[in-house]
Amino acid sequence: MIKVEDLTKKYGEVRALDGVSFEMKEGEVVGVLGPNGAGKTTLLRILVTFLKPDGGEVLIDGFDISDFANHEKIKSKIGYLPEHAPLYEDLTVREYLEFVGKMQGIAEDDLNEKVTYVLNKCGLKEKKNSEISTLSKGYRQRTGIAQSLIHDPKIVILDEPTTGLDPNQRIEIRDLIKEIGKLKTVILSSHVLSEVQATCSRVLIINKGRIVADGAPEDLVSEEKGKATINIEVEKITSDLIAKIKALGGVKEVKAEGNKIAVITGVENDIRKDVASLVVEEGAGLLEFVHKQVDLEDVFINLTKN
Amino acid sequence: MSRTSTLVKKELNSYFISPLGYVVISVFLVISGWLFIQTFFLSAQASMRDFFDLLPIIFMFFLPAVTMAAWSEEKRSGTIEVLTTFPVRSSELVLAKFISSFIFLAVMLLLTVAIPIMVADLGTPDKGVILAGYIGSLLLGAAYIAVGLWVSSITKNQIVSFILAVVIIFGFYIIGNSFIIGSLPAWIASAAKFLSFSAHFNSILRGVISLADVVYYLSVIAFFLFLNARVISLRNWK
Repeated sequence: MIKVEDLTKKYGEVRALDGVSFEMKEGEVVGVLGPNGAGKTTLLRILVTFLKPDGGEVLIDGFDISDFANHEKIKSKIGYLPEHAPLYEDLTVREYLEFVGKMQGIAEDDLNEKVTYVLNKCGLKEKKNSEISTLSKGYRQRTGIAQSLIHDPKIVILDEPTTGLDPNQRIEIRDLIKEIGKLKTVILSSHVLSEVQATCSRVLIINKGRIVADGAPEDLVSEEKGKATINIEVEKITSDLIAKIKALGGVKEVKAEGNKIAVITGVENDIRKDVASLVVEEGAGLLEFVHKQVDLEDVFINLTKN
Repeated sequence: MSRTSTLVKKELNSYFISPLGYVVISVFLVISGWLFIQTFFLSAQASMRDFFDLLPIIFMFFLPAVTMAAWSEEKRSGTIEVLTTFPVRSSELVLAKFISSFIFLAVMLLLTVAIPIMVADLGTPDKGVILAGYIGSLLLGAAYIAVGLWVSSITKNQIVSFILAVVIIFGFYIIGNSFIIGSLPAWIASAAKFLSFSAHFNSILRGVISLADVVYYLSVIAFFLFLNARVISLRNWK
Protein backbone atom coordinates (compact mmCIF):
# COMPACT_ATOMS: atom_id res chain seq x y z
CA MET A 1 0.00 0.00 0.00
CA ILE A 2 2.84 2.34 0.90
CA LYS A 3 6.40 1.82 -0.26
CA VAL A 4 9.19 4.15 0.78
CA GLU A 5 12.67 3.65 -0.56
CA ASP A 6 15.79 5.54 0.54
CA LEU A 7 13.84 8.73 1.22
CA THR A 8 15.80 11.89 1.99
CA LYS A 9 14.75 15.43 2.77
CA LYS A 10 17.06 18.28 3.65
CA TYR A 11 16.26 21.64 5.17
CA GLY A 12 19.35 23.59 4.24
CA GLU A 13 22.19 21.57 5.71
CA VAL A 14 20.04 19.62 8.13
CA ARG A 15 18.98 16.17 7.00
CA ALA A 16 15.43 15.80 8.28
CA LEU A 17 15.16 12.40 6.64
CA ASP A 18 18.23 10.40 5.80
CA GLY A 19 17.66 7.24 3.76
CA VAL A 20 14.32 6.10 5.17
CA SER A 21 12.95 2.86 3.70
CA PHE A 22 9.93 0.80 4.72
CA GLU A 23 6.88 -0.89 3.27
CA MET A 24 3.33 -1.08 4.56
CA LYS A 25 0.71 -3.62 3.62
CA GLU A 26 -2.99 -2.93 3.35
CA GLY A 27 -4.71 -2.96 6.74
CA GLU A 28 -1.57 -2.39 8.77
CA VAL A 29 -1.60 0.12 11.61
CA VAL A 30 1.85 1.62 11.91
CA GLY A 31 3.04 4.03 14.56
CA VAL A 32 5.92 6.34 13.76
CA LEU A 33 7.71 7.01 16.99
CA GLY A 34 10.52 9.38 17.66
CA PRO A 35 11.70 12.30 19.79
CA ASN A 36 10.71 15.82 18.77
CA GLY A 37 12.50 16.87 15.61
CA ALA A 38 13.25 13.31 14.53
CA GLY A 39 11.55 13.75 11.16
CA LYS A 40 8.11 12.26 11.84
CA THR A 41 6.09 15.21 10.51
CA THR A 42 8.41 15.58 7.53
CA LEU A 43 7.89 11.92 6.64
CA LEU A 44 4.10 12.17 6.87
CA ARG A 45 4.02 15.43 4.90
CA ILE A 46 5.93 13.76 2.09
CA LEU A 47 3.49 10.84 2.06
CA VAL A 48 0.55 13.24 1.56
CA THR A 49 2.46 15.13 -1.19
CA PHE A 50 2.60 18.32 0.87
CA LEU A 51 6.40 18.26 0.81
CA LYS A 52 8.71 17.27 -1.98
CA PRO A 53 11.47 14.84 -1.06
CA ASP A 54 15.06 15.52 -2.13
CA GLY A 55 15.73 11.92 -3.00
CA GLY A 56 14.34 8.42 -2.93
CA GLU A 57 11.09 6.89 -4.06
CA VAL A 58 7.60 6.84 -2.58
CA LEU A 59 4.77 4.76 -3.97
CA ILE A 60 1.26 5.20 -2.60
CA ASP A 61 -1.01 2.35 -3.72
CA GLY A 62 1.27 1.92 -6.71
CA PHE A 63 1.40 5.62 -7.68
CA ASP A 64 4.74 7.40 -7.68
CA ILE A 65 4.58 10.73 -5.83
CA SER A 66 7.43 12.19 -7.88
CA ASP A 67 5.02 12.41 -10.83
CA PHE A 68 2.95 15.54 -10.31
CA ALA A 69 0.18 14.11 -12.51
CA ASN A 70 -0.46 11.39 -9.90
CA HIS A 71 -1.09 13.81 -7.07
CA GLU A 72 -4.83 14.14 -7.45
CA LYS A 73 -5.23 10.36 -7.47
CA ILE A 74 -2.91 9.94 -4.50
CA LYS A 75 -4.58 12.67 -2.50
CA SER A 76 -8.03 11.17 -3.03
CA LYS A 77 -6.84 7.89 -1.47
CA ILE A 78 -5.56 9.57 1.67
CA GLY A 79 -7.28 11.05 4.69
CA TYR A 80 -4.89 13.37 6.50
CA LEU A 81 -4.90 15.01 9.90
CA PRO A 82 -2.00 17.48 10.13
CA GLU A 83 -0.25 18.23 13.42
CA HIS A 84 -2.32 20.43 15.80
CA ALA A 85 -5.50 19.67 13.79
CA PRO A 86 -5.85 22.97 11.92
CA LEU A 87 -9.53 23.79 11.31
CA TYR A 88 -11.62 26.70 10.05
CA GLU A 89 -12.60 28.32 13.32
CA ASP A 90 -15.64 30.22 12.06
CA LEU A 91 -17.55 27.17 10.81
CA THR A 92 -19.64 24.75 12.85
CA VAL A 93 -18.53 21.13 13.01
CA ARG A 94 -21.26 20.14 10.58
CA GLU A 95 -20.51 22.96 8.13
CA TYR A 96 -16.83 22.10 8.22
CA LEU A 97 -17.40 18.41 7.55
CA GLU A 98 -19.78 19.26 4.70
CA PHE A 99 -17.16 21.58 3.24
CA VAL A 100 -14.46 18.91 3.42
CA GLY A 101 -16.84 16.31 2.00
CA LYS A 102 -17.58 18.45 -1.03
CA MET A 103 -13.91 19.29 -1.53
CA GLN A 104 -13.21 15.55 -1.45
CA GLY A 105 -15.72 15.15 -4.26
CA ILE A 106 -18.61 13.52 -2.41
CA ALA A 107 -21.88 13.89 -4.34
CA GLU A 108 -24.51 16.17 -2.83
CA ASP A 109 -26.93 13.21 -2.39
CA ASP A 110 -24.47 11.17 -0.31
CA LEU A 111 -23.10 14.06 1.70
CA ASN A 112 -25.65 14.03 4.50
CA GLU A 113 -25.22 10.32 5.06
CA LYS A 114 -21.41 10.51 5.11
CA VAL A 115 -21.39 13.48 7.48
CA THR A 116 -23.80 11.76 9.85
CA TYR A 117 -21.67 8.60 9.73
CA VAL A 118 -18.43 10.34 10.75
CA LEU A 119 -20.23 12.49 13.33
CA ASN A 120 -21.45 9.30 15.02
CA LYS A 121 -18.22 7.42 14.55
CA CYS A 122 -16.13 10.18 16.12
CA GLY A 123 -18.57 10.96 18.92
CA LEU A 124 -19.37 14.44 17.63
CA LYS A 125 -23.15 14.17 17.46
CA GLU A 126 -23.83 16.56 20.31
CA LYS A 127 -21.31 19.09 19.04
CA LYS A 128 -22.36 19.12 15.40
CA ASN A 129 -23.84 22.61 15.58
CA SER A 130 -21.11 24.13 17.75
CA GLU A 131 -18.72 26.60 16.22
CA ILE A 132 -15.26 25.08 15.99
CA SER A 133 -13.63 27.99 17.86
CA THR A 134 -15.66 27.04 20.95
CA LEU A 135 -14.59 23.37 20.99
CA SER A 136 -12.24 21.80 23.51
CA LYS A 137 -8.97 20.35 22.29
CA GLY A 138 -10.40 16.83 22.40
CA TYR A 139 -13.36 17.71 20.23
CA ARG A 140 -11.15 19.64 17.82
CA GLN A 141 -8.99 16.56 17.43
CA ARG A 142 -12.09 14.45 16.80
CA THR A 143 -13.30 16.92 14.21
CA GLY A 144 -9.90 16.68 12.53
CA ILE A 145 -10.07 12.89 12.52
CA ALA A 146 -13.68 12.97 11.26
CA GLN A 147 -12.49 15.22 8.45
CA SER A 148 -9.83 12.69 7.47
CA LEU A 149 -12.38 9.87 7.27
CA ILE A 150 -15.28 11.49 5.47
CA HIS A 151 -14.41 10.36 1.94
CA ASP A 152 -13.75 6.78 3.06
CA PRO A 153 -10.04 6.86 2.13
CA LYS A 154 -7.94 3.71 1.87
CA ILE A 155 -5.14 5.26 3.89
CA VAL A 156 -5.47 7.41 6.98
CA ILE A 157 -2.49 9.49 8.07
CA LEU A 158 -2.65 11.10 11.51
CA ASP A 159 0.11 13.40 12.75
CA GLU A 160 0.21 13.36 16.55
CA PRO A 161 -3.49 12.70 17.02
CA THR A 162 -3.34 12.66 20.82
CA THR A 163 -0.92 15.47 21.63
CA GLY A 164 -2.30 18.00 24.07
CA LEU A 165 -5.19 15.87 25.26
CA ASP A 166 -6.03 14.99 28.84
CA PRO A 167 -5.83 11.31 29.88
CA ASN A 168 -9.54 10.65 29.32
CA GLN A 169 -9.51 12.23 25.89
CA ARG A 170 -6.40 10.23 25.04
CA ILE A 171 -8.17 6.99 25.81
CA GLU A 172 -11.17 8.05 23.73
CA ILE A 173 -9.05 8.98 20.71
CA ARG A 174 -7.01 5.82 21.14
CA ASP A 175 -10.18 3.73 21.02
CA LEU A 176 -11.31 5.66 17.97
CA ILE A 177 -8.00 4.93 16.21
CA LYS A 178 -8.33 1.23 17.07
CA GLU A 179 -11.78 1.29 15.44
CA ILE A 180 -10.41 2.97 12.32
CA GLY A 181 -7.51 0.51 12.22
CA LYS A 182 -9.94 -2.37 11.74
CA LEU A 183 -11.06 -0.93 8.41
CA LYS A 184 -8.15 1.03 6.98
CA THR A 185 -4.43 1.28 6.55
CA VAL A 186 -3.35 3.73 9.24
CA ILE A 187 -0.08 5.50 9.83
CA LEU A 188 0.19 7.75 12.85
CA SER A 189 2.98 9.56 14.56
CA SER A 190 3.46 10.07 18.24
CA HIS A 191 6.07 10.58 20.88
CA VAL A 192 3.92 8.87 23.46
CA LEU A 193 4.93 5.23 23.68
CA SER A 194 1.90 3.84 25.43
CA GLU A 195 -0.29 5.23 22.67
CA VAL A 196 1.62 3.47 19.95
CA GLN A 197 1.82 0.29 21.97
CA ALA A 198 -1.94 0.33 22.48
CA THR A 199 -3.00 1.15 18.93
CA CYS A 200 -0.40 -0.09 16.47
CA SER A 201 0.51 -3.49 15.15
CA ARG A 202 3.90 -2.20 14.10
CA VAL A 203 6.27 0.52 15.24
CA LEU A 204 8.84 2.49 13.30
CA ILE A 205 11.23 4.30 15.59
CA ILE A 206 12.87 7.28 13.92
CA ASN A 207 15.82 9.19 15.28
CA LYS A 208 17.64 11.98 13.48
CA GLY A 209 15.98 11.15 10.18
CA ARG A 210 16.82 7.44 10.23
CA ILE A 211 14.75 4.41 11.06
CA VAL A 212 16.43 2.81 14.05
CA ALA A 213 13.88 0.09 14.72
CA ASP A 214 11.02 -1.49 12.83
CA GLY A 215 8.76 -4.23 14.12
CA ALA A 216 5.84 -5.24 16.31
CA PRO A 217 6.03 -3.63 19.76
CA GLU A 218 6.37 -7.10 21.39
CA ASP A 219 9.26 -8.03 19.12
CA LEU A 220 11.12 -4.79 19.75
CA VAL A 221 10.81 -5.39 23.44
CA SER A 222 11.87 -9.03 23.18
CA GLU A 223 15.17 -8.06 21.57
CA GLU A 224 15.97 -6.37 24.83
CA LYS A 225 14.17 -9.08 26.76
CA GLY A 226 15.95 -11.36 29.08
CA LYS A 227 16.86 -8.30 31.04
CA ALA A 228 15.19 -7.02 34.15
CA THR A 229 16.26 -4.31 36.53
CA ILE A 230 16.02 -4.08 40.28
CA ASN A 231 16.15 -0.48 41.43
CA ILE A 232 17.11 -0.10 45.06
CA GLU A 233 17.32 2.97 47.21
CA VAL A 234 19.23 2.75 50.48
CA GLU A 235 20.20 5.12 53.25
CA LYS A 236 23.88 4.69 52.49
CA ILE A 237 25.87 2.37 50.32
CA THR A 238 28.32 0.34 52.37
CA SER A 239 31.64 -0.51 50.79
CA ASP A 240 31.05 -4.23 50.53
CA LEU A 241 27.48 -4.05 49.30
CA ILE A 242 28.17 -3.48 45.60
CA ALA A 243 30.84 -6.16 45.45
CA LYS A 244 28.61 -8.65 47.23
CA ILE A 245 25.69 -8.00 44.89
CA LYS A 246 27.98 -8.41 41.92
CA ALA A 247 29.07 -11.75 43.30
CA LEU A 248 25.50 -13.08 43.29
CA GLY A 249 24.68 -15.53 40.52
CA GLY A 250 22.60 -14.12 37.64
CA VAL A 251 23.68 -10.51 38.05
CA LYS A 252 24.73 -8.96 34.76
CA GLU A 253 25.59 -5.47 35.78
CA VAL A 254 25.41 -3.18 38.83
CA LYS A 255 25.27 0.56 38.61
CA ALA A 256 25.47 2.73 41.68
CA GLU A 257 24.78 6.41 41.81
CA GLY A 258 24.35 8.43 45.00
CA ASN A 259 22.37 6.15 47.24
CA LYS A 260 20.63 4.39 44.38
CA ILE A 261 21.63 1.04 42.96
CA ALA A 262 20.42 -0.52 39.71
CA VAL A 263 20.94 -4.26 39.45
CA ILE A 264 20.50 -5.66 35.96
CA THR A 265 19.70 -9.33 35.91
CA GLY A 266 18.39 -11.96 33.56
CA VAL A 267 14.66 -12.55 33.79
CA GLU A 268 15.10 -16.29 34.03
CA ASN A 269 16.71 -16.20 37.47
CA ASP A 270 14.72 -14.28 39.99
CA ILE A 271 17.25 -13.13 42.60
CA ARG A 272 15.08 -10.54 44.29
CA LYS A 273 15.09 -12.42 47.60
CA ASP A 274 18.88 -12.75 47.62
CA VAL A 275 19.47 -9.10 46.81
CA ALA A 276 16.98 -7.97 49.44
CA SER A 277 18.42 -10.03 52.23
CA LEU A 278 21.94 -8.94 51.27
CA VAL A 279 20.99 -5.28 51.55
CA VAL A 280 19.38 -5.88 54.94
CA GLU A 281 22.33 -7.96 56.21
CA GLU A 282 24.75 -5.22 55.20
CA GLY A 283 22.70 -2.76 57.25
CA ALA A 284 22.46 -0.29 54.34
CA GLY A 285 18.94 0.76 55.38
CA LEU A 286 16.56 -0.33 52.64
CA LEU A 287 14.23 2.48 51.54
CA GLU A 288 12.87 1.28 48.22
CA PHE A 289 12.98 -1.89 46.17
CA VAL A 290 11.47 -1.99 42.65
CA HIS A 291 11.64 -4.80 40.14
CA LYS A 292 11.04 -3.86 36.50
CA GLN A 293 11.07 -5.75 33.22
CA VAL A 294 12.24 -4.04 30.05
CA ASP A 295 9.41 -2.27 28.22
CA LEU A 296 9.09 -0.26 24.99
CA GLU A 297 10.12 2.85 26.82
CA ASP A 298 13.55 1.40 27.60
CA VAL A 299 13.92 0.31 23.99
CA PHE A 300 12.95 3.77 22.81
CA ILE A 301 15.32 5.55 25.17
CA ASN A 302 18.16 3.20 24.24
CA LEU A 303 17.66 3.75 20.53
CA THR A 304 17.13 7.48 20.55
CA LYS A 305 19.53 8.74 23.18
CA ASN A 306 22.22 10.84 21.63
CA MET B 1 -15.53 22.93 -10.94
CA SER B 2 -17.99 21.98 -8.21
CA ARG B 3 -15.02 22.06 -5.82
CA THR B 4 -14.19 25.58 -6.90
CA SER B 5 -17.76 26.70 -6.21
CA THR B 6 -17.70 24.92 -2.84
CA LEU B 7 -14.63 26.91 -1.87
CA VAL B 8 -16.13 30.15 -3.24
CA LYS B 9 -19.19 29.63 -1.04
CA LYS B 10 -17.07 28.96 2.01
CA GLU B 11 -14.91 32.04 1.38
CA LEU B 12 -17.92 34.30 0.86
CA ASN B 13 -19.47 32.83 3.94
CA SER B 14 -16.46 33.77 6.02
CA TYR B 15 -16.35 37.29 4.53
CA PHE B 16 -19.88 37.82 5.73
CA ILE B 17 -19.66 35.90 9.01
CA SER B 18 -16.78 37.99 10.22
CA PRO B 19 -17.24 41.65 11.10
CA LEU B 20 -14.36 42.49 8.74
CA GLY B 21 -16.56 42.19 5.64
CA TYR B 22 -19.18 44.56 6.98
CA VAL B 23 -16.59 46.98 8.35
CA VAL B 24 -14.75 47.15 5.01
CA ILE B 25 -17.96 47.70 3.04
CA SER B 26 -19.46 50.31 5.34
CA VAL B 27 -16.25 52.28 5.78
CA PHE B 28 -15.71 52.15 2.02
CA LEU B 29 -19.20 53.52 1.39
CA VAL B 30 -18.85 56.29 3.94
CA ILE B 31 -15.41 57.43 2.79
CA SER B 32 -16.00 57.21 -0.95
CA GLY B 33 -19.44 58.85 -0.60
CA TRP B 34 -18.11 61.64 1.60
CA LEU B 35 -15.12 62.46 -0.58
CA PHE B 36 -17.33 62.47 -3.67
CA ILE B 37 -20.04 64.68 -2.20
CA GLN B 38 -17.43 67.24 -1.17
CA THR B 39 -16.52 68.04 -4.76
CA PHE B 40 -19.77 67.07 -6.43
CA PHE B 41 -21.80 70.12 -5.43
CA LEU B 42 -18.89 72.47 -6.06
CA SER B 43 -18.32 71.26 -9.59
CA ALA B 44 -22.08 71.36 -10.23
CA GLN B 45 -21.89 68.73 -12.97
CA ALA B 46 -24.15 65.71 -13.23
CA SER B 47 -21.22 63.33 -13.61
CA MET B 48 -19.64 60.59 -11.55
CA ARG B 49 -16.18 61.34 -12.87
CA ASP B 50 -15.01 62.64 -9.50
CA PHE B 51 -16.22 59.46 -7.83
CA PHE B 52 -14.38 57.17 -10.21
CA ASP B 53 -11.26 59.30 -9.99
CA LEU B 54 -11.15 58.53 -6.26
CA LEU B 55 -11.38 54.78 -6.67
CA PRO B 56 -7.77 53.91 -7.65
CA ILE B 57 -6.60 55.41 -4.34
CA ILE B 58 -9.47 54.18 -2.19
CA PHE B 59 -9.24 50.66 -3.62
CA MET B 60 -5.51 50.74 -2.91
CA PHE B 61 -6.29 50.50 0.79
CA PHE B 62 -9.59 48.65 0.86
CA LEU B 63 -8.93 45.75 -1.52
CA PRO B 64 -5.66 44.64 0.12
CA ALA B 65 -7.69 44.53 3.34
CA VAL B 66 -10.08 42.14 1.61
CA THR B 67 -7.34 39.86 0.25
CA MET B 68 -4.68 40.09 2.96
CA ALA B 69 -5.90 37.06 4.89
CA ALA B 70 -6.80 34.89 1.90
CA TRP B 71 -3.67 32.73 1.93
CA SER B 72 -1.61 34.12 4.80
CA GLU B 73 -4.20 33.08 7.35
CA GLU B 74 -4.38 29.57 5.84
CA LYS B 75 -0.61 29.39 6.17
CA ARG B 76 -0.50 30.77 9.69
CA SER B 77 -3.21 28.48 11.03
CA GLY B 78 -1.99 25.44 9.09
CA THR B 79 -5.30 24.88 7.29
CA ILE B 80 -3.38 25.18 4.01
CA GLU B 81 -2.06 21.71 4.74
CA VAL B 82 -5.60 20.33 4.60
CA LEU B 83 -6.66 22.56 1.72
CA THR B 84 -3.75 21.62 -0.53
CA THR B 85 -4.09 17.90 0.22
CA PHE B 86 -7.64 17.83 -1.09
CA PRO B 87 -7.69 16.25 -4.55
CA VAL B 88 -7.87 19.63 -6.31
CA ARG B 89 -5.50 21.56 -8.53
CA SER B 90 -3.95 24.66 -7.07
CA SER B 91 -5.34 26.63 -10.03
CA GLU B 92 -8.85 25.75 -8.84
CA LEU B 93 -8.02 26.93 -5.32
CA VAL B 94 -6.58 30.20 -6.62
CA LEU B 95 -9.53 30.75 -8.93
CA ALA B 96 -11.94 30.20 -6.04
CA LYS B 97 -10.15 32.73 -3.85
CA PHE B 98 -10.17 35.21 -6.73
CA ILE B 99 -13.85 34.73 -7.56
CA SER B 100 -14.91 35.18 -3.95
CA SER B 101 -12.90 38.39 -3.54
CA PHE B 102 -14.26 39.61 -6.87
CA ILE B 103 -17.83 38.98 -5.74
CA PHE B 104 -17.06 40.93 -2.58
CA LEU B 105 -15.78 43.80 -4.74
CA ALA B 106 -18.90 43.64 -6.90
CA VAL B 107 -21.12 43.83 -3.81
CA MET B 108 -19.11 46.81 -2.59
CA LEU B 109 -19.59 48.63 -5.90
CA LEU B 110 -23.24 47.63 -6.17
CA LEU B 111 -23.93 49.31 -2.85
CA THR B 112 -22.70 52.66 -4.23
CA VAL B 113 -25.80 52.64 -6.45
CA ALA B 114 -27.24 55.52 -4.42
CA ILE B 115 -24.69 57.81 -6.05
CA PRO B 116 -25.77 57.33 -9.70
CA ILE B 117 -29.40 57.50 -8.60
CA MET B 118 -28.75 60.82 -6.89
CA VAL B 119 -26.75 62.15 -9.84
CA ALA B 120 -29.51 61.14 -12.27
CA ASP B 121 -32.06 62.82 -10.06
CA LEU B 122 -30.16 66.11 -10.04
CA GLY B 123 -29.26 66.27 -13.72
CA THR B 124 -28.94 64.26 -16.86
CA PRO B 125 -25.66 62.37 -16.68
CA ASP B 126 -24.28 60.35 -19.58
CA LYS B 127 -25.40 56.86 -18.55
CA GLY B 128 -22.94 55.20 -20.89
CA VAL B 129 -20.01 56.93 -19.22
CA ILE B 130 -21.23 55.90 -15.79
CA LEU B 131 -21.63 52.29 -16.93
CA ALA B 132 -18.14 52.37 -18.44
CA GLY B 133 -16.88 53.77 -15.12
CA TYR B 134 -18.34 50.85 -13.23
CA ILE B 135 -16.94 48.31 -15.68
CA GLY B 136 -13.54 50.00 -15.45
CA SER B 137 -13.76 49.94 -11.65
CA LEU B 138 -14.47 46.21 -11.67
CA LEU B 139 -11.48 45.59 -13.94
CA LEU B 140 -9.19 47.83 -11.90
CA GLY B 141 -10.39 46.28 -8.63
CA ALA B 142 -9.96 42.76 -10.02
CA ALA B 143 -6.34 43.58 -10.92
CA TYR B 144 -5.74 44.90 -7.38
CA ILE B 145 -7.28 41.70 -5.99
CA ALA B 146 -5.02 39.51 -8.14
CA VAL B 147 -1.98 41.39 -6.81
CA GLY B 148 -3.29 41.20 -3.24
CA LEU B 149 -3.92 37.45 -3.42
CA TRP B 150 -0.48 36.74 -4.79
CA VAL B 151 1.16 38.80 -2.05
CA SER B 152 -0.97 37.02 0.54
CA SER B 153 0.35 33.68 -0.71
CA ILE B 154 3.98 34.58 -0.04
CA THR B 155 3.67 35.50 3.63
CA LYS B 156 2.21 34.11 6.83
CA ASN B 157 1.63 37.56 8.22
CA GLN B 158 -1.56 39.44 7.36
CA ILE B 159 -0.09 42.86 8.12
CA VAL B 160 2.92 42.23 5.90
CA SER B 161 0.54 40.97 3.25
CA PHE B 162 -1.55 44.15 3.47
CA ILE B 163 1.35 46.60 3.37
CA LEU B 164 3.23 44.81 0.60
CA ALA B 165 0.08 44.73 -1.54
CA VAL B 166 -0.46 48.46 -1.00
CA VAL B 167 3.15 49.17 -1.97
CA ILE B 168 3.02 47.08 -5.17
CA ILE B 169 -0.33 48.51 -6.22
CA PHE B 170 0.95 52.00 -5.51
CA GLY B 171 3.96 51.26 -7.71
CA PHE B 172 1.73 50.17 -10.59
CA TYR B 173 -0.42 53.24 -10.02
CA ILE B 174 2.34 55.83 -9.80
CA ILE B 175 4.23 54.82 -12.95
CA GLY B 176 1.32 56.20 -14.98
CA ASN B 177 1.53 59.57 -13.29
CA SER B 178 2.39 62.46 -15.61
CA PHE B 179 5.21 63.66 -13.32
CA ILE B 180 6.90 60.29 -13.58
CA ILE B 181 6.21 59.86 -17.26
CA GLY B 182 7.45 63.37 -18.03
CA SER B 183 10.76 62.73 -16.35
CA LEU B 184 11.51 59.47 -18.13
CA PRO B 185 13.10 58.94 -21.56
CA ALA B 186 10.41 58.56 -24.19
CA TRP B 187 10.66 54.81 -24.74
CA ILE B 188 10.56 53.98 -21.03
CA ALA B 189 7.78 56.51 -20.55
CA SER B 190 5.54 54.76 -23.03
CA ALA B 191 6.27 51.39 -21.45
CA ALA B 192 5.55 52.81 -18.00
CA LYS B 193 2.34 54.33 -19.21
CA PHE B 194 1.33 51.06 -20.80
CA LEU B 195 2.02 49.11 -17.60
CA SER B 196 0.33 51.50 -15.20
CA PHE B 197 -3.07 50.80 -13.69
CA SER B 198 -4.13 54.42 -13.87
CA ALA B 199 -3.55 55.22 -17.56
CA HIS B 200 -5.83 52.40 -18.68
CA PHE B 201 -8.40 53.27 -16.05
CA ASN B 202 -8.48 56.91 -17.15
CA SER B 203 -9.02 55.93 -20.75
CA ILE B 204 -12.01 53.77 -19.75
CA LEU B 205 -13.41 56.64 -17.64
CA ARG B 206 -13.70 58.71 -20.80
CA GLY B 207 -16.49 56.35 -21.74
CA VAL B 208 -14.69 54.22 -24.27
CA ILE B 209 -13.99 50.65 -23.36
CA SER B 210 -11.29 49.69 -25.82
CA LEU B 211 -10.22 46.13 -26.35
CA ALA B 212 -6.63 47.09 -25.51
CA ASP B 213 -7.63 48.27 -22.03
CA VAL B 214 -9.70 45.18 -21.32
CA VAL B 215 -6.92 42.89 -22.56
CA TYR B 216 -4.44 44.81 -20.40
CA TYR B 217 -6.44 44.24 -17.19
CA LEU B 218 -7.20 40.61 -18.03
CA SER B 219 -3.49 39.98 -18.65
CA VAL B 220 -2.49 41.57 -15.35
CA ILE B 221 -5.10 39.47 -13.55
CA ALA B 222 -4.03 36.27 -15.34
CA PHE B 223 -0.36 36.99 -14.66
CA PHE B 224 -0.76 37.44 -10.91
CA LEU B 225 -3.18 34.52 -10.57
CA PHE B 226 -0.66 32.38 -12.42
CA LEU B 227 2.08 33.47 -10.01
CA ASN B 228 -0.25 32.74 -7.13
CA ALA B 229 -1.00 29.21 -8.37
CA ARG B 230 2.74 28.60 -8.80
CA VAL B 231 3.41 29.71 -5.25
CA ILE B 232 0.69 27.40 -3.92
CA SER B 233 1.56 24.31 -5.95
CA LEU B 234 5.31 24.77 -5.69
CA ARG B 235 5.19 25.91 -2.09
CA ASN B 236 7.22 22.93 -1.14
CA TRP B 237 7.03 20.97 -4.33
CA LYS B 238 9.82 22.44 -6.41
